Amino acid sequence: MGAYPGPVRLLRRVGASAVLLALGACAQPPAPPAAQLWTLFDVEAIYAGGATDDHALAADAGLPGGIPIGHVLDGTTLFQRPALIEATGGSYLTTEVWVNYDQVWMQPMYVPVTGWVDGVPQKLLDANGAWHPVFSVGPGSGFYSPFWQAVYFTVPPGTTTATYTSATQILDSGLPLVPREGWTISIVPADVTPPAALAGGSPKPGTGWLDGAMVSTLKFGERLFTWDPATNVVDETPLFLMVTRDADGNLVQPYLPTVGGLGPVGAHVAAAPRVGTEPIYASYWRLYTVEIPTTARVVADAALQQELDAAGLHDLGFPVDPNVAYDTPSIVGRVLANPTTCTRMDPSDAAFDCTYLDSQAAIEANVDPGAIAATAVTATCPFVTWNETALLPPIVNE
Amino acid sequence: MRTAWTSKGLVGVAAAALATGAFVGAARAQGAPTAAPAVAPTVPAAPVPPEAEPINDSEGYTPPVEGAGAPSPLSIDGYVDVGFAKAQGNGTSFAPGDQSIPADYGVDTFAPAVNSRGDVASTNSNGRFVNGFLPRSVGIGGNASFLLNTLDVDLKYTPGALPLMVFSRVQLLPRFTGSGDDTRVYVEQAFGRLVPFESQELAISVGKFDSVFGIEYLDNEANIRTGVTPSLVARYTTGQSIGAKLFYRVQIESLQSAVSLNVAATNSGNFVESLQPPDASLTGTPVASGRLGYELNTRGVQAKLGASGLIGPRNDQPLEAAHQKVFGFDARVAVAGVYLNAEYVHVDEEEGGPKTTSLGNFPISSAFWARGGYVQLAYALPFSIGALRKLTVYGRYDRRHAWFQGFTPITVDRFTGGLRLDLWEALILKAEYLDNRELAGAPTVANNVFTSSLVYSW
Repeated sequence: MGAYPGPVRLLRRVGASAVLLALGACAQPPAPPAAQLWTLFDVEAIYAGGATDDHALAADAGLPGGIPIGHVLDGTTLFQRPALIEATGGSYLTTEVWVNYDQVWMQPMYVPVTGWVDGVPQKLLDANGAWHPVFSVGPGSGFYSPFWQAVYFTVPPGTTTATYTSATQILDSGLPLVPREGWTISIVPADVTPPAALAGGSPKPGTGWLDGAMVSTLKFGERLFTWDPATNVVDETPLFLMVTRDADGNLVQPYLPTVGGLGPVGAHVAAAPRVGTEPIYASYWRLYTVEIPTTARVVADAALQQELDAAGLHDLGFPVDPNVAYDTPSIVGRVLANPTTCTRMDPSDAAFDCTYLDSQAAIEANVDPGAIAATAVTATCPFVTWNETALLPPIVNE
Repeated sequence: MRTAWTSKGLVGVAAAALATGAFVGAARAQGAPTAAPAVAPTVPAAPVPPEAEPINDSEGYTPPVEGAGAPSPLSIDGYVDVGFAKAQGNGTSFAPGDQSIPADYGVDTFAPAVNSRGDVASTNSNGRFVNGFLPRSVGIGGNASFLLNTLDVDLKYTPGALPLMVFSRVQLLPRFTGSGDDTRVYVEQAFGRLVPFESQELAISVGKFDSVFGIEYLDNEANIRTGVTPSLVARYTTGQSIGAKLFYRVQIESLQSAVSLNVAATNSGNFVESLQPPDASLTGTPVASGRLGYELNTRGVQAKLGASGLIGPRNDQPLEAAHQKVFGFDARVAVAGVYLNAEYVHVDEEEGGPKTTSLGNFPISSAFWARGGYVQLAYALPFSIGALRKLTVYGRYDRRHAWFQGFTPITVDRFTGGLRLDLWEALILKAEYLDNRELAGAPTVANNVFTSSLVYSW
């Protein structure tokens, strides 16, 4: 023992205090959920780790069952998911999934131009007529997003598409920067391709630059999102996923067409903007669950009814005339709000008397607001078909 | 050289220099006694007061430890740090035209430092989102401004009969930023230190105390630091935190050497408080840190060498599994009035949950890596001309390479040159220029700084 018996007692007290501190650690409140972003690079890595296509992303974020990776990538091919929007069938691809992100931000994408003609930037093209944007953030960052603001800069004569390859280089060049429109362009693994059926439509494969290295991209086009100009936060649009309760009372998500919205919940946006006859829908979505009303049913052909049966949801199905399903394939999977009074299921029928939850307006008009819930999941889901037709990426002057 | 300088005249020169922002030299008390790194920081490091007249000339007299004639067990020390600074540009490192988000991920926001706390001229991103990788700001932008950097009050209580010391350091930090008055009262240190064995150099401290990592924390306070501003890696090593620490040193007299070990378990490790809050554990698990040091104390050469490490959950987020690992090496050599300090730091932080710092809440704590260090050379020339006690000229080279997950790695460096004057025993005037350079990854931006500091101690 040392010279100070008193201090030794104090030392013991210090030790006891340390134990108490350690015990106190057990009473820590649970950690808030962590934000996470999955890109196609991450999904490929999950597959490479041995996962099967039913491995779920965002499994604990308010979306029963999460998002199976098979609904993002089928091998190296993007999965084309059926959807409804403005009471019409369509489909979209999914390239990024966020969970617990209250917001995502548009990032700058630098585009060299040779000049301007009538206010239109003349993009610097390579020998194949392609332009190559320079991205400021890569998909390895939690702040990556495929939502870019084109920032044009006029290059001197003799500049090639390989002259400017990093954001730092461009900022250091001192060339005037002109921020303009927003683009949805995903940076993707080089082996990822859109479904063959979409060839010639959206998205357009391409390449760009990131920190001096060439990266593969999929261009979905301009004007597929809006943003707050003060913060560059990308505006969300609701994407509704139908859920119901199983025999145990748990919410489950049958595989049904999702329903795309046109504006914030309750905003009652009448219609999407159009280029000619082609609509321009959002590409950044907040996923909402819609609990199917107990009085509603799902229009089911034989195959869907089989799936519902397998899921223990036999009573959810509502049989459809095969001829109607053949004429209007997107009718299968729609949620029918008035199964007891619906007699003419074909929307093109003059005597059509059914109410489908096939648009944001229909959902908000026919579903109790308490049955509509925002999840912690957001995603990039650009529509690639609508009304049985492949959409072209809305791109001006390319 | 004029020998007839009066102290009044010197003060006038000092004040004029501070007022005009002229590059007036300052001297450092680097030659002043600094106790062993591990124990010294727990003792208020104010300049040594003038030698008091002996109470009793009789040889062998020892003041009673208690009762009448005993020195007061309570001492009150402190200092006032008044600054004058001017940064280039808008006082930040944010490049005009850069719209990438977060704004603080692609530049070094700590570069335009103006005082010993590492506060910068500005962190105003003009509305661009930032994600909490920020220093404190004095909010002067690119304007030249006087600053009251710190009003520091140290209380030390040492009961004569006990091997115990209680110390607190409370600082008033008057600030006016773009959002209005942002003045803070900050408890930088508050701890008790016990030396349980009279025969051993063993000290146990519990409370909020200085870092144990590296050597730069020894210079945290304006009245101690050679120059005005900390290095580019000080953000990782100089922060105080709450917990317990143990210091042990063994003297090897035959080799004129000593070996020391300083270890701590704290809430946040040694990051500065703007990056990781020290006043609460966000994960429930302490952060371990420590330094193994060697000292050589010969008549001509004093040298200190050390290796430091830190491991534990990062305390800017709630996930216990999100670890931070830091290691570093340091050296301090003093020969014939020349002082060489050098330090290298290696930082790895894993990705964690939602981020919380002393500056607020942020959505993501990104994985982060940094490597950097500095070399500082100072020469102190002692004087005894009127009020002038010492003139020190110093220079420092800093370099930092760092990157956030998915973002372009940035490399920056900085040349710092300055002068310091020590006047009497209680007044220090120092001035320096920071030449910040963006070498790679970060856009070039005008963010050099002139800054000066007048420190009154008591």
